[in-house]
Amino acid sequence: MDRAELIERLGRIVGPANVLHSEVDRHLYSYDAYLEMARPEAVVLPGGAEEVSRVVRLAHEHKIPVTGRGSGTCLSGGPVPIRGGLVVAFARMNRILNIDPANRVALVEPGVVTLDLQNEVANLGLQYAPDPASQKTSSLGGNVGENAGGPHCLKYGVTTNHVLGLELVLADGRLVQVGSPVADAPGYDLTGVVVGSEGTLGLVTKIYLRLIAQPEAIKTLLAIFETIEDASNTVSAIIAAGIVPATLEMMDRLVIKAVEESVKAGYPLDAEAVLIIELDGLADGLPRLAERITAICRANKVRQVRAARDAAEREALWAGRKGAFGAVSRLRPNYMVCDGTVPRTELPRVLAQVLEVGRKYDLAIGNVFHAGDGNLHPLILFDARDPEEKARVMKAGSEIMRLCVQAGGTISGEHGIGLEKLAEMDLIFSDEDVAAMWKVKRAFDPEELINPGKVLPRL
Amino acid sequence: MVESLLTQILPREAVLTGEAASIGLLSHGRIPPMVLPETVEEAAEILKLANREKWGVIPWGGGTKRDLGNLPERFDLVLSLKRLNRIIDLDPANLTATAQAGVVLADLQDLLAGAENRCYFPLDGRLRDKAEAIRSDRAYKGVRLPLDPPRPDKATLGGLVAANASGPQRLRFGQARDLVLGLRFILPTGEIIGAGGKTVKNVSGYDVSKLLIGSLGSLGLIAEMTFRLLPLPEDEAACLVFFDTLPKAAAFSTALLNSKLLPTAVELMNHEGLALAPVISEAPKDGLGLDLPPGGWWLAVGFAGFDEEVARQVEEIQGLADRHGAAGFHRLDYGFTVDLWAELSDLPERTDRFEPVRLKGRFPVSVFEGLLAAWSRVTEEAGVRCALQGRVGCGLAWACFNWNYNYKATLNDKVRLCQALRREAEKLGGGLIVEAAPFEFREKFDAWGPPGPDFPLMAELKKRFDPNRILNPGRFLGGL
Repeated sequence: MDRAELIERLGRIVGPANVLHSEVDRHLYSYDAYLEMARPEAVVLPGGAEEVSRVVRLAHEHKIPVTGRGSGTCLSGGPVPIRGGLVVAFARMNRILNIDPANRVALVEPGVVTLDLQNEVANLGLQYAPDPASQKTSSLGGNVGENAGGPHCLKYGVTTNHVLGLELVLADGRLVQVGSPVADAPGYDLTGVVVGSEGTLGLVTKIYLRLIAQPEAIKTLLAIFETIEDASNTVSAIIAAGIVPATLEMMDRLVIKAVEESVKAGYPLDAEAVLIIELDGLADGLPRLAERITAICRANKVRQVRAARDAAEREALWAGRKGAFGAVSRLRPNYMVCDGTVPRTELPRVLAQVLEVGRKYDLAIGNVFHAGDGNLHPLILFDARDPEEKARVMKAGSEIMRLCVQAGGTISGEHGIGLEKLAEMDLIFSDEDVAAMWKVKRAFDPEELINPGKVLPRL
Repeated sequence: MVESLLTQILPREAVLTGEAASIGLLSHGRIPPMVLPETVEEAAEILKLANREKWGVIPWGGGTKRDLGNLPERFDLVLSLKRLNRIIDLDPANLTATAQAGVVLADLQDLLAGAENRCYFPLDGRLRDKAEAIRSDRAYKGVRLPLDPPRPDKATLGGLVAANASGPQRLRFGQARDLVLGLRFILPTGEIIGAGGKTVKNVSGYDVSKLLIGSLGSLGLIAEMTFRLLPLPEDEAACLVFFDTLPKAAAFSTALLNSKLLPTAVELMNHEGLALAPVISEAPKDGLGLDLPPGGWWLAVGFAGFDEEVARQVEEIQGLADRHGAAGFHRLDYGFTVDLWAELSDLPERTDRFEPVRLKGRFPVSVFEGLLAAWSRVTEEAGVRCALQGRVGCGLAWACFNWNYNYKATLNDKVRLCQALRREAEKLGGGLIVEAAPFEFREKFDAWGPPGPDFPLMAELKKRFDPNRILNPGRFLGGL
């Protein structure tokens, strides 16, 4: 089948206006927030699950690879169609199909923007807990693919803990439901393995999400430190005191400065690190908890602890954190964000090593991350037009991953393996481990047509 | 023949035969041997051998889930993990623990609670005196794995993860699926596979652990797990609330779940269920259960957290109970709280130690009242004294009765009764699973119900993980 015929047949399924194939369109769908690019033959924008099924069936007949795409905020190359073929973009499948407060379940299409669902359920006194920093843009389908995290995952768990079931289109176009909004569906936990599979096992067309009650009260503190080490020690000390806050987020000096220049969140420019500590739950007990945390901060040489006095102040503190990646991108033309995770007690040591890596490769590195989870996000600043600098960035990124693994952690906490970390999978997995993953892949997609070339290295 | 092959891998004393090997299941009228490997590598060698010889293998932990699911279609060997019982890493500062499959849950909890005189649930022994449960004045020490499945004194970590077992406090703390960060398992072909890791956030490769959790030992043999832990709470409390009718009890439960309160458990039970919880029915004060009229329903509600939260919730729930016309309200002392959750987790198993029938219903959370009412009606019409237990907020319920509930009932009558109970759950959008029943019944009534449209994927996974069908063949959904 030649390209013109393919486009014609796709147009018959989704309508010609929903098949994009100009040079510009193909370029626009060739990249995400990582560094690699590859053009699709065509981009399809289906309007519903049935259309996705027919598109995939057509692709399957002709052995054309298919790669799903949400909002394209992926940081590891997940939606980049590295083997060409079709990109199925879910922008039109953005309906919230049902919110069922009595059963605390939402049914959504994959193109729904995370924050849109969150705003919608907030009106009912409910919340969808996972809150990736990109929630204003990221799609729930993408969140499912990457098993997205976010600041509040420290207390509430990551995306996988909130997905009850999925409808997905398999490689041959079959439409199946896995899991269930009803508890304890017998059989293997297919939902559990599809979440976080980076869109390589099928194309998700509907998602059942768990909703929980909004907390009665929230208390947000900003703790300002003279050294990163003091801030890291505070993180460990809080957990060791039997307190699991809703969030424990850290930013270092470079990031603080960038944020203040763009968002003006009210962070002190001369501090080496700040922690955003948020407590939530019943109102009773929060004041004493905040006092205990303040005392722990003092014992770890905090300069100052500020409490947000109202919702506006809380918003401002968070605006700084959530806008941090954007703010940092003003400093240099490009940045690469690493995503290693370490046991949190290893933070002080690993952070020092990360700074050392920056010095070694002569690169500026900023840190803004989920300290409570031990999930680091070193941001390496560079200019992609300088190939020599870019090469140093790649080396530094790989070295940081190694440091995380040596500390008992892993190479990706929430951004995925994608294309970026394929070569580093062997740092944590043996060939046998990866072979077991290939068994899963082949059970779902024996011909490797769904988002091929991602996550699993060749053996 | 079988034994001589086994003793080439294991020392003679690690291969049991005859009565010593019995798990209460016969294979062609004989008791197959049981092996007790001491290392993961030994277990892998055994599996490799079994795979070569195409033996049916039953992985065996504490034996608490023996009656769950269908009968295996064949079985030639019991692979006990009891000697794989090492704690590999306790890291309370990072809230993780790594242990082998044969570790008994209560033993792990003991270690996690630390050296302090602090009490935790579920307890191995019985606490009657509050003084035994002295709480530390120190701010905090000690952690726990927040799982309260039945029989913590027997259940092994491998077994409870393979069954994705949970208990009343699942409402707040989740299940094994939410608490396992990584695991090591053995494929039938002998490869030792690592999946996941030690950190809460981890999207490095497929989350293969999820497939093993709840797979009932049919994909691989779980050898080692890393769990996410929680700090021990400052305080815990449990309240018993009695109502004279189901609608009143249900209205109270719904109001509770829609409030800002954060109960760890909300268990709703009928009158028959009361007799099964000795902590209440045999309470020294002799009165706790007595204010429940026949036909009445009662709730056990748990709270855990910081002192102020718990105090406020206990106070508020008492008001809520009053407003909903409760016939009785008790706050249980700390020592009783410990027993209570252990007993309620185990309540379905207390029905009858000899010939219990335990059926688990699953349904949308909001229809619990309809389900319990329908099950009450169906069992009453059949003349069955049936203990009903609803895990409100989780969308689960149990019906427990004695197999010989009526000497006139034939096997077909019993099958019809269970079909009727399954139909009621299905009408409400759910289903029914047999957790225990005599063999003659399980041969006639599929434990899991009909598989769904995703079954071909499951069958494909089984084929790729266990091509010779040696692990628990035929026991799981659709004969997996």
